[in-house]
Amino acid sequence: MQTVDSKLNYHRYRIYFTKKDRARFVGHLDLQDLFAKALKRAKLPIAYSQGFNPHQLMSIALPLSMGMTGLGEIFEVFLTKATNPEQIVESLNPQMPLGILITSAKEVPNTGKAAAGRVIKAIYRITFPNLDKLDLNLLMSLPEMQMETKGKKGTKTVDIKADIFSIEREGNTITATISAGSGKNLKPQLLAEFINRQIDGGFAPHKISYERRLLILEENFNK
Amino acid sequence: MYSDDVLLRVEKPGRYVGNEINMIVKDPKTVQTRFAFAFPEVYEVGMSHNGLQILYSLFNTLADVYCERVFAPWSDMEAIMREEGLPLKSLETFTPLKDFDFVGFTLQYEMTYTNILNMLDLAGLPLRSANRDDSHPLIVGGGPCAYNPEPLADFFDFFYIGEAEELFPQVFDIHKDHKGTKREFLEKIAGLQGIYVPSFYDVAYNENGTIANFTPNNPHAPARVRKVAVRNMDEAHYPEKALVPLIETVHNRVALEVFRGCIRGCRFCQAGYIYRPHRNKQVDTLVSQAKSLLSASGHEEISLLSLATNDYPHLNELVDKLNDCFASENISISLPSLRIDAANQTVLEKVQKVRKSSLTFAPEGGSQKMRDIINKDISEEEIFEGVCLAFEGGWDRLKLYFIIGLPGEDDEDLAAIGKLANDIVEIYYGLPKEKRKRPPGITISASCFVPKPFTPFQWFPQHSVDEFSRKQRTVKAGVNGKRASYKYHDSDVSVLEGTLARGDRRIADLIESAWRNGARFDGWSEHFSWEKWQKAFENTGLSIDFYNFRQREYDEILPWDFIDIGVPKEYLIKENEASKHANR
Repeated sequence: MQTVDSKLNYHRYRIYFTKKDRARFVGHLDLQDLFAKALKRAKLPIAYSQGFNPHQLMSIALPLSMGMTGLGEIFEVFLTKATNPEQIVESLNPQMPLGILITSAKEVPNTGKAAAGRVIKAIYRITFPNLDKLDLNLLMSLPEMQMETKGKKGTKTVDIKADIFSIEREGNTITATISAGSGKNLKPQLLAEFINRQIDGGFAPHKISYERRLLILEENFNK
Repeated sequence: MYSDDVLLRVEKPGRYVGNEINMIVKDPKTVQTRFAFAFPEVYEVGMSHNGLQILYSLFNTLADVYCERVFAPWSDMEAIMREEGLPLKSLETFTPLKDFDFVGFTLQYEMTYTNILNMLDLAGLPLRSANRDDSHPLIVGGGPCAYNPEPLADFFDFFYIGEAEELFPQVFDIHKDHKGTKREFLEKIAGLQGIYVPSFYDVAYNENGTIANFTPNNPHAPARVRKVAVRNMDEAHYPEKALVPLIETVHNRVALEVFRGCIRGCRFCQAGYIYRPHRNKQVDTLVSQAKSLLSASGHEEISLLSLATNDYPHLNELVDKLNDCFASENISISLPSLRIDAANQTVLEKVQKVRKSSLTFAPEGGSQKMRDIINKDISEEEIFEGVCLAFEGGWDRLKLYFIIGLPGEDDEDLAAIGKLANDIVEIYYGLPKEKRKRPPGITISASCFVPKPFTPFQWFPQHSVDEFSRKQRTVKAGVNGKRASYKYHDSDVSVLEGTLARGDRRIADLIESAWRNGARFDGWSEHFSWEKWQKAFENTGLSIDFYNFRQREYDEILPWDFIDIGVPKEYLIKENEASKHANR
């Protein structure tokens, strides 16, 4: 693996992108490969890890589940030379498939955690086939919101209430800010399932659609 | 596009949404001819096929043509499509297959035949050409299995025999200006070299089931169909940009075809005969093709493709030039097929600078007698020298490929496989201790011989499943399990492959019956069901003994005899006879 010392010679860029339409069906590992090849085609001065099997120094923050739309997605990349962020956007966009658009880029300090490790919250819009029966005030006044999750160690019950920071409703769509990232993480599917149960919706999971509006990062670069 | 409702219920929805890097986008309204390139395999397999890349690129350079792609839907997708009545659609514009002018199937492997029927059915098209009319697309087939098109003859409107780069654009030219019926169109193209329209020929059979005669019934149809081959590989079309899939596929690299054909004449090998003559590309052509393919893909590996890349006369120079151009960009070179001998040891060093992965080596026959019978021109000494060099170079994982069930094979020849592996392990332990990091990993793989049309062994009866099983056990008994591992597959798939490979028109009923019994993806062991085919044999009354386990005579009219590959039948007979006198 790359040592911190040699990374200091590189420049780190945080790149924002959207993932929509057909591109929603590109999974996380495939998206990494897609960006790796795009950087190469764009002839950007990508930094590689040292060692037996060098790979591009790049990471994507909090993989989006298959089929979800993302409007404020983030990946970070190390380049060996200082590069104008606007030029990064301009040279990457022609290399993207339909559905992926690079919206902006900025240089960030090359030390400390990657964006992937800084995600604390995310804002999702979740659209149901029908939410007529939902009483959001009643839902949020519940003392606890218990859900069962299946993990490696079997099923456990969690209270998801503390992971919901705000929640609004507009027609059949819920907009919620929930905890996300490598620390506390509430899967939007779990929230949707909770709502689905509260209203006896009985909707199959593939009938509910998700859009991640924004990833909220903790911006303390001393960490 | 299929709805989210569908896509989110299947494994790997990326198989069905297209959108790859370098996908061609055209407005279908602006073209005269819409061609669906149909690959009767799952997306990840089909997208790794270089022929698809070449033809997709070539056809789309024609302004009047839009070539799109479609692959066989996996079983989960098929179930949803059938349940909800969804038609099979192209990946570029999601156009239902029935709205194309042509649906062109690539015929790479006999065990994809049921997938072809399944795709036609999912497209809402009648399976047999006789049941389709002028409102339906023309169904065309090409590729190595088209050299015996007869088992599929009833399902297709026409076949293209040979290399499609050369003449297919002429078919599009004729189609562009054509105003009449489908039949009239087929009459117009029937005279082109390489085109075979099965409905323009009648077959009569003898009482014993063999073919009595095969005659044209249409004045436009030639008595013999001559294959088409690219003349100059440097001038032949090669993509500047290849499709780069967005999901993981079998191969993830630039494919550089260095030559076509083969300088060897292995008697079991159909590719060695049908892809004649041997045609090299020049080094400069290859370097420039590599440059554009790399810069348009972002791949980090170039694979040098051919039937036997070691035989490329300028391999050293090519590898040097490619390394000069690209090594600084973290790009590595790989050779998929390899023949170990001293000459290419230096190439090996250059090719695998970083990783010492395993080497694959195909002696094919365990004994010198078998190697002589199949005309595999390598001696035991050469094998040992090559292995020794590989070991000294640090490669300690070797895969050895053999074929069992060949003509003239005795149990001693089978025992020789294990002995050869043992001798190779001895060579390893003969090296100085400091050169041996760990015990060597020797894997023996033995595949079951399938006699193929247009080879000197085309008359040979294939072994039965029982005989193959007995021979597999014999090989196993000769292998010292502590020193080498032995891998083999069930032979029932090979026996079926043999039946389909040498079938005639009547085999269409067998394929259709198997498909109706639910046969799909027969090349996948998780899908293959011998019972479904067994039932198809019972339903149709067709005899596997007749098609596969019988010695054919030289004077018999073989179903594929009307095709002229440029190698006379007399030559195949001569080679077959020569094999009988080889070192026995």
